[in-house]
Amino acid sequence: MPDAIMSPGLAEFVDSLETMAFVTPMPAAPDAIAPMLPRLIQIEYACPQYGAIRIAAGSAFGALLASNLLAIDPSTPEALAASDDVLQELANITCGAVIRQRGLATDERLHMSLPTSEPMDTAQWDAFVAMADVQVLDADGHIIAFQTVGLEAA
Amino acid sequence: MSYRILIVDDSATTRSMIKRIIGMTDIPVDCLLEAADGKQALGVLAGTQVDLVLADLNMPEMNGVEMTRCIRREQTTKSIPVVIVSAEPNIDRLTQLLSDGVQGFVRKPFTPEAIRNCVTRVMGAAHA
Repeated sequence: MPDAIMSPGLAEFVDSLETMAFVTPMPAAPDAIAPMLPRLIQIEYACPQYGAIRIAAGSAFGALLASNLLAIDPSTPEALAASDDVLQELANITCGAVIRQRGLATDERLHMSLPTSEPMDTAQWDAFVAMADVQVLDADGHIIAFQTVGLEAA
Repeated sequence: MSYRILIVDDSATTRSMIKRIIGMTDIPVDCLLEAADGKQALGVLAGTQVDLVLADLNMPEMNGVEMTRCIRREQTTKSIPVVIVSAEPNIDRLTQLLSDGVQGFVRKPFTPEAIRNCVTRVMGAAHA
């Protein structure tokens, strides 16, 4: 993904996803449709400048990650139940990686929040993916979106 | 001898992953216990003998740093090895934890080998 990889934090997100759950996202087609039951996962940090990592994804994508992590079928209730938990853990891991890669890890004022998760409706999804700094990706057939706040391009 | 291992992480999926990984090793395990935060973990430790704690840092209620300090303060728990399994990027915090008596650190996202090697090393050292 030569163009998209230049976005701040995206390389760390892709790396976290690949290492954690063996999924490699690619840029999505322009006509990619919104996933079912999307959620917005956010984790914030300060050191002391504010930053945030935001991931929007459907529950089926979280279930896919859970299935890869736990070696279970993604269509099982167990995988679906773990979906939100896995997406929050992905945000946590990505945030840690972004902070390390950006050389912010030695700042004694560094603070990372706990991840939060909110449901999105179709209008919220559409508004999110329409933002200029949001990367829309296709991860094994699942459409997901990624954004960093307060991070400049490397 | 088989071990009682306490896994402390607010992510249930991560706890399940670590349990699976330890279950696939040749580390003799008597019991794998779970807690979702530091406070719950201290509750488990108050009622159960544990040989190793694997803990995240960024957790609700009580984080891993406070939990480790409490473990080290208590006479009954201060010698239990603690390994941190976390995405924590703060180098100062990690250095401080190691000087406070944490025996190991595994960075998230972890590989099964990283967990297995760290647990094997720490338990080997604890029972050498």
